[in-house]
Amino acid sequence: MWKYYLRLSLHSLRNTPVLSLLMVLAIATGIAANLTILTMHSVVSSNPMAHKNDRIFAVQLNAWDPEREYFALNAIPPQVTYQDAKALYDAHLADETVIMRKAGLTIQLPESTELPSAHATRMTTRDFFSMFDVQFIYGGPWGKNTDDGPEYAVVLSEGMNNKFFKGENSLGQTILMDGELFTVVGVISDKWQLVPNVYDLNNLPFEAAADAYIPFFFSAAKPYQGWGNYQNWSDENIRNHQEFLQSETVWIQAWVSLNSAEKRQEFTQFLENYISTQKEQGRFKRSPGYQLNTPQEWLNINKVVSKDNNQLLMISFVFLMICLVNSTVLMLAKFLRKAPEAGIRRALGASRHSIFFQHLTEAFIVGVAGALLGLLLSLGGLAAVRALYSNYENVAVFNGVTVVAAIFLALLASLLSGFLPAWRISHAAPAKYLKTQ
Amino acid sequence: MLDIMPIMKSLWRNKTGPLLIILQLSLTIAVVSTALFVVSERIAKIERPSGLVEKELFKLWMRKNTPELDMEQIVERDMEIIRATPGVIGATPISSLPLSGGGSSSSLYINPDNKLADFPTAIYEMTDHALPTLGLTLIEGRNFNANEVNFFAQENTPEQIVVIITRHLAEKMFPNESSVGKTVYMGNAQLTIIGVVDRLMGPWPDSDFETSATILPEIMKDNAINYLVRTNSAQRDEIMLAVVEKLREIDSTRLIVDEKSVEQIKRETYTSDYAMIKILSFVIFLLTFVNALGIFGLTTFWVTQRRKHIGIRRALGSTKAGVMRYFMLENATLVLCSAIIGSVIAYVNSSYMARTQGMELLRIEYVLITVIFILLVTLLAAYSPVRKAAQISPVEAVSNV
Amino acid sequence: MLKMQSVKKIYRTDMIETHALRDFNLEVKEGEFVAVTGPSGSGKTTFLNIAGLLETFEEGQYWLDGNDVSRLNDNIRSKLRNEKIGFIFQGFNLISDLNIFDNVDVPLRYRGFSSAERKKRIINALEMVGLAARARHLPSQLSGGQQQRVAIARALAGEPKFLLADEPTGNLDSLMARQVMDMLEDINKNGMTVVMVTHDPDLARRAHRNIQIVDGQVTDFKIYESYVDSTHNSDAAGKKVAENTI
Repeated sequence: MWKYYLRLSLHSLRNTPVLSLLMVLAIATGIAANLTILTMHSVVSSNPMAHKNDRIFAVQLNAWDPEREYFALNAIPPQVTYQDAKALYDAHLADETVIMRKAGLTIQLPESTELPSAHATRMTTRDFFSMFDVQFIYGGPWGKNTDDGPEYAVVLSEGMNNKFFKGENSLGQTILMDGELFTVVGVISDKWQLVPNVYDLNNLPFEAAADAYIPFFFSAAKPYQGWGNYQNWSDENIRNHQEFLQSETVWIQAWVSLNSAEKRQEFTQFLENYISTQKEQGRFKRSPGYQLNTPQEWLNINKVVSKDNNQLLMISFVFLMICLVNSTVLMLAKFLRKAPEAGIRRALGASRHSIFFQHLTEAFIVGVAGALLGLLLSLGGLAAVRALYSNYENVAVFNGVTVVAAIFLALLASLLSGFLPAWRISHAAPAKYLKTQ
Repeated sequence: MLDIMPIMKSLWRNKTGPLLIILQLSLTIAVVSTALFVVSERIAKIERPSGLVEKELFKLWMRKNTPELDMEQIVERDMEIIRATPGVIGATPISSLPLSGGGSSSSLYINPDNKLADFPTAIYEMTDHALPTLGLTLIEGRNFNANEVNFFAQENTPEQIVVIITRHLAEKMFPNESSVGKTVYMGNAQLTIIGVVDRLMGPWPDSDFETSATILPEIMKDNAINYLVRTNSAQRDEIMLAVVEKLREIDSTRLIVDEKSVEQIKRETYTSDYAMIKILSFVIFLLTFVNALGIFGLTTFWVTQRRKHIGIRRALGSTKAGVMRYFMLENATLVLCSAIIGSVIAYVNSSYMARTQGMELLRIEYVLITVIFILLVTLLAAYSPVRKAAQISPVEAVSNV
Repeated sequence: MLKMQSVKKIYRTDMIETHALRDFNLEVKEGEFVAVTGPSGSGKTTFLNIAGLLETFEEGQYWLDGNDVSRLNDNIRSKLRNEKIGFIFQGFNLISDLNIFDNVDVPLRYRGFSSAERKKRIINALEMVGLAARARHLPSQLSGGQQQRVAIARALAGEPKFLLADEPTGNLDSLMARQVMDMLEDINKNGMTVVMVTHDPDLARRAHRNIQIVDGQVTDFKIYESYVDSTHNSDAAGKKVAENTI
């Protein structure tokens, strides 16, 4: 029977080409807008470390101003001081400990005549690579001793490797970073991008991954051009790098992985002990003294999903509704115009159900056509969004969510816009339309 | 002949269609008025004057690679060369740039013992060339003297500094008096206010203190600094490239990068606001389009359905214009009902947003403009089919088929 | 075949109550050709709608083919309509954007026949009315008489128990009208019960029996007999005079 309904529906749609087109367009527009914004929103609100959400934690330590709380986020500073970071690292308690910061370094090939350029460099301990599932195309992270030295090892991004080494295996080659020679030990695939880059949300949540990685403790040896944030509440006089390292300036991101409940217990115990010791020296006068955040909590605290994102999401759903109502109206008009035919069918023995499903099939075809067209249009929509936002190359991209949403919306659109009209026509009294006597 | 009641009664008798249209138009009015409001808010936000002569300014970032040369020497040499370039009106080193999203801020205190009464401000390290280069207007006091400009090493951070502040900051700290000559405190330093400029925005346009700025003639000797250059607006972009070339010529081991106009800085910082404006404008356009097509399709259908009704009217003496008036009035009635419902929806949403997200409450002008706009659009969309309706001859009244 | 007893049908609006049929009684035996006549507003249309199971009624009973169909729900009524009744309308009521073949096909689709079975029946029915050659044409390409013949084919294709015709020649000129009536008579001669509603007395005379409805009720016979006698048309007069059955 549904094959008959399909045939009748296609026939009927062909007979009113303009009206059918208007209905399909209305649905397509609504779905395209919705898919575009939904895709964007799904990425913006996604948690790229969801698979480790119960195991890795962003560490916040509250050694802030005793007289007033930290002015943003959850009233605790998002970064830690050098002293505290070093204490975390030296304890070697967590399954993985990452302390890191972002700096801008001049990178050049030795004896190069090219103009030097400054690149985003992440100065980190080696656990970063395992914690955040970094994918390498050549080599891998540096060894434990390299961190402690620190030794002159560098991990490059694929883009940097293409630029300086023509994309070949550059392991063992050397490169100048801020005038010092570093040896390449690994190259990271450009496909590895955490969107949002949950490990460092201090600047732009969707910026590209760093161009290079070197061991964190070079930051202790000398000052580098910081490309992250520095914040300090105290009035201490900082006259040199040594005093800077000992100051209350927060500039380091700290992450730990704790793979079991016991480990979590151990670690929190350690933090509490550490904080009490520090309290004796006059620090950590605020409460809570610390907070461990899962990646999802960290994303929420940093408000990665902006008000604009949410407002657009809501508008896109209302927009879809408007388009669906529009399509419903047109569909109702079309079906009622054909009420005489429905009346004849009823007289000839069609039940109400039959008329209902016949017309619902027509609505279904319109809905599916609209969704397909909408899916196509959303590609354009996503391209437009990428053009509007400077670092949404990885955000406004067609993905699985888009397709699943499209299917779901197709069904929803068909049902919503078709139900009322199909119901109306199936319940119209046939006698009225039969032109009897 | 503005009889709305019979029209409403006739619409009510066959209410499914009209109710759906009212739903559609109400939602449209709600969305469009909200979108218009947000768009105008964002435009106003972007158009806030930064205090700078934006069209005439560009900046670049310089990072030295020569540890042996002193930053102060390098900067002074560079400044001389830049200022000597034809077309350049002024130049100054500057620690960070207004509206750029990055920079430094601090808190000022009037009373060093009362840390709770603090005044947050953006901090700019510049020279005595700052005011003429940026195009700032001095409203009180004086500019820095050349000998007040000081390049300091971190270990010799100065503790007595003269500063120029913005009017907003002055008004906040010293509401009813002149702030010139007063002393305020920043960390361990004592700042003496020597001048007040009318307006200068800080690096973060969304912050609470975006119009509070403090200019210090103290520049910390780091490895890198920004240069801000003023030229005549017609040749600005060429001069920018020329200056970059020249600076690279002098010393090719250093980085001269990231040159851009101040307008581009603004565009980049306001990216999401520009995006919002464009997206919402497009949404308004699409909604107009969808509604217009819908009304066109629907009115065409209604006219064919009611041939007999129209024929009867004409047979009973209605003129063609009368028929048109009837249908246009029907449309207007629908829009009017939708306007009422749509406004309510818009306001409910807006007050919810205001309460939970701290947004501004929708202003009535936007709703009114939207209603008038939608009315015009629907009347226009219905015009062609309605005119065809008017052509229906009275014969239809008697035809039996 | 068809029996109605004390049927009462009331139409209600906000203000008015119309008694379209009051204490209506009628019986049609299998194989009969019955004409139902009466002036405008007499209730002919209501009778037709009820007989055709298109409408329900308030009081009384209706037996169709031995079954009591008085209080059935819409689904069952649709099924019965489909299987037992063949409709023929004044305005033909063919679906204008389907071709002839597909038009005859419509009731068969709701019957659940296989594709082969449907095709067989459609071709048979079209051959019976002499229009098999025009199967792929649209109704607009046929004359009025031909369209009505298609409607007859459509009505017959499902092998109903009786034909219910509403003013079947009302929209036809006299030549076509005669063809259609000849066809209906032939069908009836082959055993099909035919109930025809009309206000044309010449037409009514071609039936076996005439029943007159006035004000929602079957009136008595006497008035009718004199009406029949006063006609002049000798061709039509060869028909049997109405029997005294109500």
